[in-house]
Amino acid sequence: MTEALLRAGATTVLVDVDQQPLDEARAKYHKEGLDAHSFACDLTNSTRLDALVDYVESTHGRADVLVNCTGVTTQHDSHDYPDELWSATLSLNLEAPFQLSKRIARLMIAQGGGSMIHITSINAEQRFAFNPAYQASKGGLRSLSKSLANDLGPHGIRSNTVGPGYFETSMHAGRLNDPERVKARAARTMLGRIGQPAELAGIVVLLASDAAAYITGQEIYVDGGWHGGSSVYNVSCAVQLTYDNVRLPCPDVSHK
Amino acid sequence: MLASHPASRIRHLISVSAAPTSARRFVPSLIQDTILRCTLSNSHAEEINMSYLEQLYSLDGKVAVITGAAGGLAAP
Repeated sequence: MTEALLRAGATTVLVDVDQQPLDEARAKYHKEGLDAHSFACDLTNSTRLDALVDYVESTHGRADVLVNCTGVTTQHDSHDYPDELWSATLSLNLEAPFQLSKRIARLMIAQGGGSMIHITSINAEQRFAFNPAYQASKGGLRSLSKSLANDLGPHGIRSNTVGPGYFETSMHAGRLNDPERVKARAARTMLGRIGQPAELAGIVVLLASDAAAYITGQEIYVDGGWHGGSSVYNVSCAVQLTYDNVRLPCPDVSHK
Repeated sequence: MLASHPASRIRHLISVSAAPTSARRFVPSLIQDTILRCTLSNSHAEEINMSYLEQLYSLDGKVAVITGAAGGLAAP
């Protein structure tokens, strides 16, 4: 996603917690003539968030695009999910995007608009085992995006979510070492495979650009069809149950 | 009739579309023949369309901030 923003022409500020990987990434992009900058920041620290926004404003003068792409996931049984994991997950996955969005929104309001893109997950919509904090945080981020879209729309600021399915990323590195698990998850998609990180590039550039000038408050899933297939199934079940409850014959909705 | 119609004063009107029927749709019927005589090669049409799309999707001049940009979690 970072590379996509850069190659589409954006001056891009890379944010991460450690300086060294930021320096390496920035150097790599600079070699290709791309306009990359970096700022090391613990997003759960409000003082550092203020410093980040001050840096963006003083160095670049504006912020047209914000991509909230941080996330942590830790599985554990729900009935004894550790409080510290719950707090850490919600803090980074939900609290931090809100706090940064709030601060960046002030810049966007002053300049007359902008685009916020929040990276959620198929977990924002669907149940997954033993991951209550991650699921709650991504579902919360999904709702937060709609709230921001509603409140900031009059200022010309758009807010949308991108919900990835399973991708070959560092977050899923452990799971990707299990071929059977990968095969099972690929089989859940309509395309029959997990995603490659580059396949998130197009949607991010679209939402960041003027091509999406009238798109806001939306949730777009980039999951090879995982989420879409289940949604159709759920709608059909809901129709069936509704009619069963009032003892009416269920109509044939298969053609719809 | 075409020569006497005001529309005939139009020297260049380029209607670009992949489908000829779409390209002609908004052209007044009286000048259609004139327009259809305007030669527009495929390569020229592609150039015009690409330029438009490149501009539409371009982030030139925009400043973007992206968190988690170096593969980390952006928090300890």
